Amino acid sequence: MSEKQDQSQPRPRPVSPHFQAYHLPLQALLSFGHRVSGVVLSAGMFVIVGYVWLAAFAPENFALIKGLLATPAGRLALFLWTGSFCYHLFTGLRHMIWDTGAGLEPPFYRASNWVILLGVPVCTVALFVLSGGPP
Amino acid sequence: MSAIRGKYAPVRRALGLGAAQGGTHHWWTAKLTAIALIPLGLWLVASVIHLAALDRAGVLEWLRQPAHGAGLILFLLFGFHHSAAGLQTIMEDYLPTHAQKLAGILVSTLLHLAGAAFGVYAVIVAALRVV
Ligand code: HEM
Repeated sequence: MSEKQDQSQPRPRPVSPHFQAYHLPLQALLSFGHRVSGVVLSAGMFVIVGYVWLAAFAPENFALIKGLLATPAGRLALFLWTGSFCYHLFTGLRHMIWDTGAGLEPPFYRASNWVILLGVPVCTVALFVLSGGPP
Repeated sequence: MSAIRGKYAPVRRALGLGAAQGGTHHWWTAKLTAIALIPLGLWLVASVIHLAALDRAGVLEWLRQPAHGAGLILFLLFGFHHSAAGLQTIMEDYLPTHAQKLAGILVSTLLHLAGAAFGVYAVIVAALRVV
């Protein structure tokens, strides 16, 4: 907002940014992503309990969940969950650096944006490769 | 920081409007569980991908290894604790009224406690299953 206001005209009422016109900076997008990935991981916690529960108590239904995991949708879910974990891990680590009071200047967070954008795919692929790949 | 504190703290104290609840404890446990979840989570995600390819007998055999069963229980305890704290923060941010916040946090906390209990119990039973 560097333009001079025309003093002869009454000031226009402020308008809240229309979300289609409002440019979300990368920083804000990545930050919101931490929240989204956190919710995905929270849902995942309950799925893991369901999975172990079936293994323990419902042998006849276990094949069902295994089959589900092997479908394209199941593999995609596994992949997105892994990606969410890596994403949340990287942004979470940055959060913890910020919590110490360090790294709050633009050069740090701009550089760390790129560490996150590059690190998350690397982490995701590495986890898949190290664990022997999807079903 | 100290300028802000110097400016506002006396008023807050005088009016009794400070956030004198369990905020510090909430913050600390959220951070501690997050640190524990770095190694535990990396290990667990890799394990889940590995297990997804196995049938039930293979999964049970994996769970029978003491380090695997105990590791999964640790992951469930830290994971559910961290998840409950995180979702509480989100509800405090987005739910409009105090009553809704309380109700949401109550329901979510109960679900998380139940998830942890059912999960730990299932791990133990699954690990002791013969087949
Ligand atoms: C799989 C288990 C995990 C689940 C279910 C989970 C879930 C969540 C949720 C729901 C939030 C709230 C998000 C928000 O307030 O915007 C959160 C916040 C957080 N998570 Fe996790 N998370 C997990 C693993 C991790 C790991 C491994 C780390 C380590 C880096 C981590 C670090 C953090 C941090 C630092 C915050 C707080 C951010 C803040 O102060 O606003 N989390 N998590």
